[in-house]
Amino acid sequence: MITSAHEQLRHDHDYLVKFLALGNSGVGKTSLLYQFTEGCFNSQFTSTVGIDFKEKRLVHRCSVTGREQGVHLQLWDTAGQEKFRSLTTAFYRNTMGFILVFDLTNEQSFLDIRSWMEQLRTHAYCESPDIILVGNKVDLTEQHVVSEARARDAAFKLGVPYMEASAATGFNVTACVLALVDAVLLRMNRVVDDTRLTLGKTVSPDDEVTSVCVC
Amino acid sequence: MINHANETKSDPLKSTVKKSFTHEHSESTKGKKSIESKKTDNHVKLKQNAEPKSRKNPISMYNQKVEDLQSNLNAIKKNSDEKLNVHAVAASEIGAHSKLEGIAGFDDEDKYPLFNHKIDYDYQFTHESDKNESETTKNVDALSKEKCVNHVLEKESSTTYELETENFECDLQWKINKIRNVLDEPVLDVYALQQLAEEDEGFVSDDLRKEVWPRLLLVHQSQPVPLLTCQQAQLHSSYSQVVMDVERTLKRFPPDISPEKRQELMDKLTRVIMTVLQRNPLFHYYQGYHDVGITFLLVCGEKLAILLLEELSLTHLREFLQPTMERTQRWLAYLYPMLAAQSPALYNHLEECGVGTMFCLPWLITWYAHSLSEYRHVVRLYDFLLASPPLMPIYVAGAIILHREQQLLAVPCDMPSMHQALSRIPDDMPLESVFKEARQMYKRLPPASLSDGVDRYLLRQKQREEAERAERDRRIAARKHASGRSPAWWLPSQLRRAMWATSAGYGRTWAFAAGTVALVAVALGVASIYFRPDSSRLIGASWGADRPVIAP
Repeated sequence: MITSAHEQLRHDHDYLVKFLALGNSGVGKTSLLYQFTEGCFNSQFTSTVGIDFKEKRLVHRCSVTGREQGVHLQLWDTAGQEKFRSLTTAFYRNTMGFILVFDLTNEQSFLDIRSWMEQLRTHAYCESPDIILVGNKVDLTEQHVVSEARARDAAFKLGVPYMEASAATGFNVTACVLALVDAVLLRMNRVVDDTRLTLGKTVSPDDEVTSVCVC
Repeated sequence: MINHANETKSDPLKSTVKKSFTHEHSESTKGKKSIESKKTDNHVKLKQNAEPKSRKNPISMYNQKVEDLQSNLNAIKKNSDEKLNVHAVAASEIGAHSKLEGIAGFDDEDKYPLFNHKIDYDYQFTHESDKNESETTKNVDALSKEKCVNHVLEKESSTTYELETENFECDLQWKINKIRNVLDEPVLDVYALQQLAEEDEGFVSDDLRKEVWPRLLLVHQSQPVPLLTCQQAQLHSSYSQVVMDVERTLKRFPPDISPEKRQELMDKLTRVIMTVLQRNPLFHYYQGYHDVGITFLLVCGEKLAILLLEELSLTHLREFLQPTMERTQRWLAYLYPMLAAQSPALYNHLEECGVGTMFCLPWLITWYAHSLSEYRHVVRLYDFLLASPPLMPIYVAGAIILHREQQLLAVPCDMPSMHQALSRIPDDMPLESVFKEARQMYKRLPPASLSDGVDRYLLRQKQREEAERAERDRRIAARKHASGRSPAWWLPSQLRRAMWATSAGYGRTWAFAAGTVALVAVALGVASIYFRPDSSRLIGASWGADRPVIAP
């Protein structure tokens, strides 16, 4: 009885979280998201043309407060080619978290991180959105051209957390996404807390879901 | 007497026995058109009463038809050396809006003996209501006529479905012969090919497509293009992108293909695309171009694929190969005024969701090759689109969406759900009727008539984006202002950021350990200063200077 009531409560308090995967063509954005939502690696991938969409529901335990929250995750997957950038920037505006992916075996994809960050800051809902930098294809150790230290250094300079993952083996994939979920939920809760403090009144769960686009 | 007004394209007469041989020679869109005056002179029509399904007693009507056909036989036989057409046009008696037009075409019977035992009629509704006007064209023998009539009569009965499956192969053979006919003519009749592309099954098989597609794009007599060498290709700026996309085309190959064969085809595809790009420096490759390339490669082989891809890139795909996608966006925008005219309810629903046009971007720029899962559907679509004007893909998109109208109206008004619902084309989509709808829509709402609507849509979208951007800037400014007022806000927020960055980077355990160590270090520092004997004495000494010293 208690459990079902809890479930009900949790369901009612679902947070709607929108993520967008960015990065050069062929770094493995689609594979990464597929690995996260389906739990497997599909070798028959095609290039993304325009933009694709996936979703997943999960229950997340906040790392700071320890509170359990239902999360409805919407994942947008973009085409990496530069030509499509002008078409996909419209999707940046209502995105809460960005998964910025580069390929550890491709130097150029790492160098282009900076320009992706600029894009992000120009078009995202605020100047400092939640971002996680992911170095994909960590399983291809012998082909690595970007060292972990170098990537960490770059991430530190950009002020974003960095993780290495492998869409092929599934290593760290869930951890990456959940780390970003955590950050976004923290921000959302903080916004709600701030609102509560400043307005001096309680905020309904509906507001929690909608009032996230504040930085 | 006849309720023609209720007749629609769903009439089984039309959907099952579709054999249309129009040798009417009008201007082709490509300009390279053959008009054989001799043929046109001999082009005779046979118009007759025919009946829709709803008629109660069709037999008398068809008996009449047989008689009429027989009476025309003599006239036909006089012209037996000529290639002739039969137009069996059935005029309705009362319905001004509907007429059954049966068109059957035949060629030399020695060459195509099949015609002797199989004749079908195509029934189309047009806006004429002439009666009993009989002009004739073709050598039809009595046997075939009777067969035809029997066939039609059977169709009238409720056994349509079985007949359809029985006659399917035969119908296909019939269609193949029709296509061969057009191909064998000394002067290419592009208009006839376009007609055939619109009919059921398109160009039927890949063997025929290999011959027809180059003719449709008028490259069948072009000189083969010298292939690029691997070294030359690698110098091109798009090379790595092309290779990356080609490597991800596994899904497009037939499932039973061997890995060696597939690798070979992939190498060929890279060469095809790179050769076209190299020859046309103004082409800017886009992801999805390879989906078009592979379709041509699988059907026509490497040499023809280059010619086809190049020609198509100069015509239909031209706008997508521009440096930016601005023109492509404009093309996509045609969808909305089209929907507004066809289904205001659906238009309002989609506008309310704010789903935009991105869901059909791959439809347009890959000609559906990226979105359709079945190869036969892809090639069938290419048949149709190759014979159509460049904007036709967007009319097909409109027809697909309108076909699913009720389904889409039931989707909740939420952008991601709607995007997902729209972007998937169901496998059971009736392509043939979609083509017909698209073609009709193109006639009803030609691109020129939608142009103003497109401008308005794009303007609205631009205004919306600008408003959003202004709102964002306002919010950021307000936030900065607020944080400026209370500097106390800054430190906790930076701490939170640092904490999250650290925890995500190194794991929570480490973050916790580091935090504890830092806390202990700070506590130790404070304690060491507070309890240091020297400092307490120093403090005591300084204080003691002013105080009276109490002797022990």
